[in-house]
Amino acid sequence: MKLHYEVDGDNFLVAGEASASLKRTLKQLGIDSSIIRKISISMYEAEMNMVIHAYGGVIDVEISTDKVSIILKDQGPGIPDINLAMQEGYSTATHEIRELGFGAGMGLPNMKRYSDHLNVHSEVGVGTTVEITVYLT
Amino acid sequence: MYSHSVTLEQEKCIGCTDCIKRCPTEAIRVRGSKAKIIQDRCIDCGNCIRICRNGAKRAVTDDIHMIYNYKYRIALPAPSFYAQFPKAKNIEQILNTLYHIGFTDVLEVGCAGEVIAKHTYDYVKNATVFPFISSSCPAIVRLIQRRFPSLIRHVLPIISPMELAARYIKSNYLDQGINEEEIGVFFISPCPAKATDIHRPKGLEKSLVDGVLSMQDIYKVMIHKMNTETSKPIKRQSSYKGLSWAMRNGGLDENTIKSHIAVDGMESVIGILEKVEDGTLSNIKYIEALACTGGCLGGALALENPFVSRYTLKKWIEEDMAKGALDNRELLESIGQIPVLFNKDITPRPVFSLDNDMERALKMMEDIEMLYKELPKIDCGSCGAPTCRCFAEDVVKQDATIEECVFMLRKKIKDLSQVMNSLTEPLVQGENDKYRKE
Repeated sequence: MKLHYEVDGDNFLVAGEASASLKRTLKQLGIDSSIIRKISISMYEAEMNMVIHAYGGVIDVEISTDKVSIILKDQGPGIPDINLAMQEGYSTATHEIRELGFGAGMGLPNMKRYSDHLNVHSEVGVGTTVEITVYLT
Repeated sequence: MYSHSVTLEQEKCIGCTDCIKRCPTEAIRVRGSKAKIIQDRCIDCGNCIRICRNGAKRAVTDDIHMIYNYKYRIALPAPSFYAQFPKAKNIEQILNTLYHIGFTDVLEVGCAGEVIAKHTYDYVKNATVFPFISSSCPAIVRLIQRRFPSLIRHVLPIISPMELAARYIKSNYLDQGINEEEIGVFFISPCPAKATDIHRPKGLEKSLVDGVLSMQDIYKVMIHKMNTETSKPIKRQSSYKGLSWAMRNGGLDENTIKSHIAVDGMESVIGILEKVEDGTLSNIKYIEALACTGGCLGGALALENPFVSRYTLKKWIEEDMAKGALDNRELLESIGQIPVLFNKDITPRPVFSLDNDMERALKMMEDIEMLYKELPKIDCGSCGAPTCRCFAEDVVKQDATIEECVFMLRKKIKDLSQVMNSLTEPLVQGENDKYRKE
């Protein structure tokens, strides 16, 4: 089944709603709680990144009996050096964002850690697409 | 034996939507103008009791006369109980009145709370999975089993102060050679969840509490006897530290467990548990989560406003502190000998799961999503379900029919009337034309 979410950029008050909604759905599907945890954490990180860096975007989720694939697309500034961004602690967040407790440089590393497959395509000035896959079996 | 402590009085229920909206596990529906509690989902938090303006939701607790089935009748008053008597002279007077209404012995749960606080500290200090979530509020443990099964391993596997108090006092009587059948231990409860807890305990095979009495019921009997002369000298067992268990932080101050969160009120607790599940609170070591706003002071069976209660209790605590530290070390030490760890696993109760077979569950979920898109999404509650989303689930699960939604019914009637109108078109065309001209 397919789910679609629109993520409002720059609104921290509703940031994380898409992840929360997906989490509810996954629980209803009876998916093992440790797997839900992996999906929730990686999607939450990706959703927050979208809000912090890319003025929002769209999320498409596809759930089948063997895996959950999440594709997050934004038209933000893009990531100039993906390898650098994958390093723990590397962050470009502004002081204001850090004050809010975000931007610790754990976003992409956490996504990698909690997903089974992570793909990041990015073009500076065009946008970023993040593909997260978590297997259910 | 009943399985839940929250029940409905049919004749008082007018079928409004107040309770369905406030249930944290979406456990209530209105069907045929009466509320219906879905047993599997109910966590006995008592929210619906508080919200019902017709008094149709009731907590089932034990009858006070039940105490006379026992020769030795021991009352376990929690600190929250003291807060119901803002005008009492002192705590001694409250405890003394318990003897007047028929109890033969009293053990202050507060002192067991002091011991549990110490055990909690030791346990968390040596733990590796963080944060730990307090297990002393049974409604929260039930919530975790149903809504947050992934957090079961975070639940602190330590029994409640109530249970520890009962274990201690019973072992004390047994040591004196008294027959177990003659000992009755009764907890005076601020909430229905505690009543369920003794019949279906969490983390242990069997509770040693024999009965749970409602604070309201005891209060009614007590107010008439408050001024009776003291017949028995009262020796306090709990120090001010134990009393603060009923305040929100569960008696743990910053000096005991650093980096802990004390959260109360169902919605706030759910918010925190979501965060734990998302892994954003792994820097926190311990979470004291209580279902009621104001903690146990705000229990559905408490009489006094929880904020007044907090003031009253603070007053008692200050008075106790002023009197100088109560030396209850010996008592605490003997209570400390009693084992407190859970001896039974807490099992997940995934009541929200649509089907055990994922393929079928996926199909149902697709149907739910499709139907939900059609619904007005205003969550009016007229269908008897708390939200449109929940209604869509009920319809797909065949627990409700689509026409129960007034908007869908209206649409259907409109469609039907158009069909009827078009049916008449070819038959009485002349007539119809005549009306149109007018």
